[in-house]
Amino acid sequence: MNYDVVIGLEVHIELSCNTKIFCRCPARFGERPNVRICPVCAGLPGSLPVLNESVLDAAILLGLALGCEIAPFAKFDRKNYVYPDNPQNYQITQFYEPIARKGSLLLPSGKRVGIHELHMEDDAGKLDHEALPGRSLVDYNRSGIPLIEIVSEPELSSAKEAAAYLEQLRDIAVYLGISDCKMQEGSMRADVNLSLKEQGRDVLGVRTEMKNLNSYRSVIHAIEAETERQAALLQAGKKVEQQTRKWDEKAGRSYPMRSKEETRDYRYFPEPDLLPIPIEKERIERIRQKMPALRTEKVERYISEYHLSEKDSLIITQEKPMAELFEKTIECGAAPQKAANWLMGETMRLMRETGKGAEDLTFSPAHLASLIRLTEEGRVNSTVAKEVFEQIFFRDADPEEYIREHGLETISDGGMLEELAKTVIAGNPKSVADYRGGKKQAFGYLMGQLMKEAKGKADPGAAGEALRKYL
Amino acid sequence: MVDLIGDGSLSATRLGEAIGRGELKVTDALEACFAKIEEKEKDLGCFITLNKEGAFLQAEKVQHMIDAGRAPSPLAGVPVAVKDNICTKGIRTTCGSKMLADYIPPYDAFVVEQLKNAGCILIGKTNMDEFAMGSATETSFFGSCKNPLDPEYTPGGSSGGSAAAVAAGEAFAAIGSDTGGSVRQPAACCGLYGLKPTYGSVSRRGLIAYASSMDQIGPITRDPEDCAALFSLLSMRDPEDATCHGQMRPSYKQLLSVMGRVKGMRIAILRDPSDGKAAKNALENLSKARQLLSDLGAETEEIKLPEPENAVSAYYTIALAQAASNLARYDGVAYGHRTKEPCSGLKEMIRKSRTEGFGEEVKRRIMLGNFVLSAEHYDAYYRKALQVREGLVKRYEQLFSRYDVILSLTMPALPPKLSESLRDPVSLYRDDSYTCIANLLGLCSMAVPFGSLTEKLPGSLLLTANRFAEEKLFAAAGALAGHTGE
Amino acid sequence: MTKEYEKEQERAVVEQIAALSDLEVENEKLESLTKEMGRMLEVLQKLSGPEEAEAAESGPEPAKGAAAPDIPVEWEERSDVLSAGPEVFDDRFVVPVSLFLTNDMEKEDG
Repeated sequence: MNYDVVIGLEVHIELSCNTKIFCRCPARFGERPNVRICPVCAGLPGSLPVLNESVLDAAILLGLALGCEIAPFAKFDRKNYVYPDNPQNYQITQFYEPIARKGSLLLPSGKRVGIHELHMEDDAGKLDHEALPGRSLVDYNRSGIPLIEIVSEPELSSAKEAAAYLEQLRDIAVYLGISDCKMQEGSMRADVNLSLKEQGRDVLGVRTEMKNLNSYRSVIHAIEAETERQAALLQAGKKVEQQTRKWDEKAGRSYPMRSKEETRDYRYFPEPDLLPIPIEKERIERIRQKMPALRTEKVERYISEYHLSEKDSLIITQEKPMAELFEKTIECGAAPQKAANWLMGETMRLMRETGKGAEDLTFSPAHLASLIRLTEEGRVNSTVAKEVFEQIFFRDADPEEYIREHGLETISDGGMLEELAKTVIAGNPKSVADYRGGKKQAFGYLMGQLMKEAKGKADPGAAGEALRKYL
Repeated sequence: MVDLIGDGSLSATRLGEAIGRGELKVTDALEACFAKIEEKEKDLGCFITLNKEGAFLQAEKVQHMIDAGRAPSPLAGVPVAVKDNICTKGIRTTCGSKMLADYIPPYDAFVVEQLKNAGCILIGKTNMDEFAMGSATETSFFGSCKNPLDPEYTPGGSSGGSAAAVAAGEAFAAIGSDTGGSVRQPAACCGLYGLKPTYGSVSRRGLIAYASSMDQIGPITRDPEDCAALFSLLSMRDPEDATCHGQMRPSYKQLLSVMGRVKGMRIAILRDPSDGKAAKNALENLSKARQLLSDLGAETEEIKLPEPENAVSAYYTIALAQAASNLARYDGVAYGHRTKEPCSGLKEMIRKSRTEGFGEEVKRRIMLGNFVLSAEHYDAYYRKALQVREGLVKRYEQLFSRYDVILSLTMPALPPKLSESLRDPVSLYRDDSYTCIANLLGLCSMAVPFGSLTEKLPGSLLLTANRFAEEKLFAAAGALAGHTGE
Repeated sequence: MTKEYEKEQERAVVEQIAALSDLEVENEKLESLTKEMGRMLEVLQKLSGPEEAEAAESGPEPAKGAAAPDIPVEWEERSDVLSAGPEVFDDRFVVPVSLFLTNDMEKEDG
């Protein structure tokens, strides 16, 4: 029996808004527990939710970017379930009428995956089961953080495709500026729905849901493991049970979460504390007009306008701040390929060494552009340029000022070089003799010495000429 | 003047005027109230928590402002009682329940902020049916409340404590909450005015929720002027309540000016109660009122309400469902009652805490609410109720295009007697039949005292008008109170 | 025989709903509770009427909600929020929970 794998993904992304979805608590992180709370997100008696408008706009923006139909009203529903990370013991979500429906996402392979719907909802708090033995601690800082959930159609057919889908979704959300989508930090979470379908038949198999996937790698491993597990069951003539499973990356396997008797009844009903908000065509158009360029658009533009290769374009656009830096550097007058080279080369090298991400870069594009111009004019040679760049990278130094202060301009003055050449020749009689005797390598040594005398600032071409003249 | 305070006939606005003129000190009014409380509370049980110290501190501040010529409002210095399901910062707020017996909110409800800004003095939190579920104030964890006019009877509910406090002279005015009649019915039982404003007029921020799409806070007062003053004070826009529509509401002066102006008003008289149990006196009161209004130039016509049983069913279905969800948060985790029994895990702790913390009526309503929301029953009950409601909205729109106000009894029968409701809880559901339609459809409605029911108990009539038409209520109420609108 | 079965059914429903409501019902009280709930249900069952089309849109102009601007406001008295709790450790509310989650309950998030 051969099976096709049928995968659907439910992805939650945390929006990078200033405030939480239903209250005006600042949506910041990394603080002590229960600092970013108020009666609303702590579910105190008498508290009421009010929708954060930027969440609505972000949801519409994402819906448009995914080619969805936008609902005429923003309507919310209560999803009732009891759990201590959920202070009201219900979540406010959109069940009956999600904000956007029927979109699609294009994978790099050219396959188009359907988006069933996306909707807004609030996040729950965090539980800590380790700090206190036998007890758990509840922290509401995360309660009320805005989430958008994107539900795909069950049209993915492999782990690789699932990973590609996630990467595309991430790129879109990042380039729209609505989320930073970092799986390891939890700002993007994926649940996998997977079933096996007998090849040649139309009947879908029983599907399981897998949670606790904290990285792209986990997603891939989990899909592979679950496919194997289900296939083994079916081959043995057993049935796949519909269940939710928790993935354990360390163990490399998943465990069933809820027992099969306990399927939850969420008792969805329209949220009475939030009246439907009409979504006017004007709002949608305004959002559409202001939509930032997506990664795919930038890549195309870099290729067609700047004549970068696809490979280089993909590297530059991997992180949005890098792409922005690239574009601004060009705006400051730098040639695109040179700018790209500097970013892909020295910049990324230093980033790796220092552990900085693209969003941590603080140097100004004008300075990079200035450095590039200096190299083009021959006023700094490549060695000096690298040294100057480090100053730019770490201190945002102004290259013109820096080379002036440190006297780093390339020496191309023939007279001066000739003087230095004479000094070197006088000081290295053996090498000179070797060279005149036919050992070409000696020239390199003499060049090195000349460079040393010139404190590295000699223009290599002119220096070579000077040496040759006197040799 | 001090005697007048004591006998309970001085209205809040007149008191405010006297204080504003300097004829009385704020503390005079307070002392009179606390003297009454001292005298009567042990027999009546109107309050759950008194705020004596806080009240006198507040009185001092307000007196300073008045002395400096900066009285914040015409109600400055008036002692007001607040129902115990409305959050008061630093003052215990229990909802009449063991579940919140020690709960102290860290914030004031919007209406409490408004009262404070107006210079009203908060004297205490009043007794109520647990979580506002009841019409006799007998399901309160803190004991029942007696009707000051006739102690064999309850003051109605769920805002019974608020009504009784005003009727007994323990406060000059009070605010309560009305989900199915809980401001109007106790007002009726105690001979007072009780207003349920148009849904969305008064912010629900800080009102501990029962049925979110029907709860409204309203004043319980001795005369219609007080009612108007409090209503205009409370119905300010609050951006922190998404259901508070923020529409311009009539001012106190506007409402005063329309009182009694019923000439040409088309008044629908609802004579026939659904079960024929109305007291004889009550129907006579209704006839007299009709005559009075007619004499003043109103046109009156008898009508039958569209689908009364359907309305009650829809009302209860929606109320119980929303209540079940709103009360799910009471689990002993972050606040409220937590069981002291040893528990093997979280689920057990939650179950025990809730079972211990809630009274029987609340538990029944929560379960029924979850029943109508459960997957198998949602369509047949909750969704159906929402559809029925929409249908009734249309029917009543038509009705209000032909009539300005509906006049009816407030209750189909006498107020509940003490302990009657506890013996037969379901029997009380019938009491909501006149009042709950306004909650279901978001209409505005006012109970006005008129005539008498028994030797001791006053009669009451109910005025109901379309959404945003409070002026019509005040016009008719004024007429029934003796204003002629000239 | 059927009446007994019906009663059994009803009691089972009540037990199920009690569990859904996170409430315990003592066995002795189950019978009377079932009866009372049955009576309450009679009130609700009077709901009748033709199937209206999608309700919200067909009524008069539905009240329109509004959203709030994305401007942070700090809640200053957050310590009061915590002090409302029965037990707080390290600024977090404490609940007794089995450390082995997979059987007792689960996390909704990843």
